[in-house]
Amino acid sequence: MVTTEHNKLEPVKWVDNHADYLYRYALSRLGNSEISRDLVQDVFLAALEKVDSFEGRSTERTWLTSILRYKIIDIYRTKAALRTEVDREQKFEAATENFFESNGHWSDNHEPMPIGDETFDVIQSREFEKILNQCMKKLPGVCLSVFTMKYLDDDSAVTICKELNLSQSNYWTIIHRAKLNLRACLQKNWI
Amino acid sequence: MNTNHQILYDCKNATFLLEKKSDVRLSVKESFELNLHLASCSVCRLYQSQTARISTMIKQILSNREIHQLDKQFKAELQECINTKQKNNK
Repeated sequence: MVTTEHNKLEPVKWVDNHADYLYRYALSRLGNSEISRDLVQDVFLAALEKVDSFEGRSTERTWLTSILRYKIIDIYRTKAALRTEVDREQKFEAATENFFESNGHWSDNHEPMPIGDETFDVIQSREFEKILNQCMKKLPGVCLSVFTMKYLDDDSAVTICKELNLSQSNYWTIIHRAKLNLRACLQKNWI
Repeated sequence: MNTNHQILYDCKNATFLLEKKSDVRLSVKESFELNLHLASCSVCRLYQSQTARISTMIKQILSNREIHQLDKQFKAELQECINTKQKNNK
């Protein structure tokens, strides 16, 4: 969508156009789906209050996102939500460290082993997906956001890093950790 | 600079490079390290095939289950709420 002069607000399309985006943005920073969901609602309602202050110089989405950003910072100040998510990420990080010895070699009990018969035929894949879906629920919010943007929206690494405020090396570390954990979870739960 | 010996042991680095490779072109050095490692490490070769399939499954799961989206009812109610409020503001 290219706008040459003034961007306009279209509140009747806000939910369709921006709700999922704002939700993911919040979720990636807070890791809590309920708080994130409430925030999306807050953002839209707050935005309606200040429709008049929108000058049309930024896009509607950028404008809404900036409102969301302020609200997230407010929550950070209360810290509770943030602390839970940071805890979760730290635990996740620590768990991943155990996968390898200090020289980088797989540690004995984390070495990948064949899962099923490794053919991944249709029936097996369905079972795998069921397990993997459960495993994905244990990931920190930021991993899910990265995966959603990477695999569902087909965003480039550059875009994802920009939107989630990550460095590129941080980004691959997140993917690496997430994949290691998902693979291990799949192996553990596959009978 | 890693010696070849270190590269052969460094499964952590090799699996990291495998993930990176799915996004960007590796540098010559990275590519060399990864290939050298994979040639001698069957466990990481297994990881390579598993992680590729996991990517496909993640994609499948995300597109089927809308994990990261708000549910339709919530959205409908929210839009309704916006519309009402907008009318009242005018």
